[in-house]
Amino acid sequence: MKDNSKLLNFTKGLWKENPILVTMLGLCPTLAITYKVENALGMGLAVLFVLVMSNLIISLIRHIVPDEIRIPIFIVVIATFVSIVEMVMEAFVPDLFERMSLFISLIVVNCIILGRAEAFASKHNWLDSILDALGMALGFTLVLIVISLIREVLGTGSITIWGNLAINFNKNNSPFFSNFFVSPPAAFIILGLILAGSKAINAAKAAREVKSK
Amino acid sequence: MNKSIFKYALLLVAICAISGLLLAGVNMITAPIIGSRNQINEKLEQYYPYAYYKQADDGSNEVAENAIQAYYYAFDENKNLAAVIYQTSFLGFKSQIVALISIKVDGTVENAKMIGGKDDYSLSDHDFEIAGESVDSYDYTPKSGATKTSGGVGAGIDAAINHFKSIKDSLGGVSYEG
Amino acid sequence: MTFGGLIVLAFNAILIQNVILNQFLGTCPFLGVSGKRQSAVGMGFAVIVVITLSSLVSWGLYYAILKPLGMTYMSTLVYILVIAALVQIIEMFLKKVIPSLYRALGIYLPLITTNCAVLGTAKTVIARKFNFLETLVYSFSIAVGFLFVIYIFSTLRSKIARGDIPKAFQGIPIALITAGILAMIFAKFGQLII
Repeated sequence: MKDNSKLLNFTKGLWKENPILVTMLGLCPTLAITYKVENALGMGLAVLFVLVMSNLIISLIRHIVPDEIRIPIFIVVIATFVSIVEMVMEAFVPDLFERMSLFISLIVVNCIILGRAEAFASKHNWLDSILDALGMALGFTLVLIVISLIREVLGTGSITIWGNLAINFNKNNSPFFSNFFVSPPAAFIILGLILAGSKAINAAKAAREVKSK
Repeated sequence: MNKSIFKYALLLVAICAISGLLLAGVNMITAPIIGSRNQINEKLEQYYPYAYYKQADDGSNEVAENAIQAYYYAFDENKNLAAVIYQTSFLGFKSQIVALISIKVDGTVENAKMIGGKDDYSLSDHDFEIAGESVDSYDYTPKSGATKTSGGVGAGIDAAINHFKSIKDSLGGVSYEG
Repeated sequence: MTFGGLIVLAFNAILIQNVILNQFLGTCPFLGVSGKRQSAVGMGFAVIVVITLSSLVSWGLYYAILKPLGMTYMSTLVYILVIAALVQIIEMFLKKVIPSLYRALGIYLPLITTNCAVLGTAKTVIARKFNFLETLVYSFSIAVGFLFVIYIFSTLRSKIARGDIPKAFQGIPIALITAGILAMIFAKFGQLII
């Protein structure tokens, strides 16, 4: 039973409490950077690091943090790890950083991170908090990858990851591929359709469960 | 009440101090790496009026002697390509002369500047007299008294112009993003 | 920058590089509070005050302290603390001095700390190397653009809510699709030649 609950802490972020699909948090980066799969991977990794570290630290200091000033303290902890990610990315993946530097800094105010700190890490032990962070970050990254796959393939007819892995789907210049899909309006519309899709799947699931009972 | 506010403030300051130290530590590791790359960007910003720069990535990143080391696309405020700027390194009098050569997209040379080299005579503060020449027929005047040093820049100009001619037709597809 | 340049900067910030529809900043409160027209307007005005003040304070701190001391790596941390403190101060100020305004804006103020448009604008004015006047004009215009779009959007949503919408699309999904169509209209402003 106990092991099962540990596993649940991890898996709930992937679908049942997926930060984008279900709680609909962190939509700004989801919309802004998903025009390239490469960006989605970079953002996913950055969020994974920040979320795991901040959940870990906040869980460890949860007993010494006074309730009244917990939010400012959480923000300082999160901002510290975001700044570390900024510096490391600027040093080692400069191209990627240049493209999304603003949205890397904005992980500080990403509701997913503060939300997990407040709702989970400040109430659970460090192991559960890390599992929770891993699950949430992976759930977030998976959705980013799905959206960016749709946008990059439909928008450019190809996928390029770090210049090495490149697949071209559009060999005969079909008008089906339009750079509309990499433009801002398409970001809103595609995310809207995906959220509607996940809502429909969950509703169908719920209906089936009611029936089987 | 007042006592607890004081305690909270102290706790916040302490946490900020810890994170400041941590960040300073990481910064000590990453700053040299970022700095070495930004050096050339600082030079570009110092010498040229453009709003954005992007290094052209043509796959060869080795630092070669007597060749074009790198070239940069310069964009105006609306992110339209305005010029191509070459960083060249050719032998001058005693040392490799590093120069920046800027060619506008319409095919006129903007200027040529010496930015590095250990020759006695430094041309770095002077415009090499080539501004406004067309890439199709150009002529430059070496600085008198520093012919060999000038030659280092001149060879750079030749290499840059040759390369510019070879990529001129594909410049329309260059954009700042992506 | 000339006076004309400032006008262009303001126009760009309000319409073409609109903070929500083009830069994707502040999407969370945009979707969260745009359901009701009154709360959308309240949020919009509170955001104008906070964005303008926090950008100016961050700009000042960056050029007066962080850059001379070579501590620019602390900038993210400093900006977010500035924003959090500013929001707290404005809240206490309004509560004491203009209680009626506090009652109108009060509940939106704490939400603004985590509005990424605020931190995003503070970062942008540094990244684009704006001077003091440009920072003032740009941050104010960005916030006006936020109010403008969130107001338009709240009126649209109150109409949509009365329509017959498939269950899966109700709430956020249809709001996002509407925002997409609105963004298409705003994208056309970019083709105006100034």
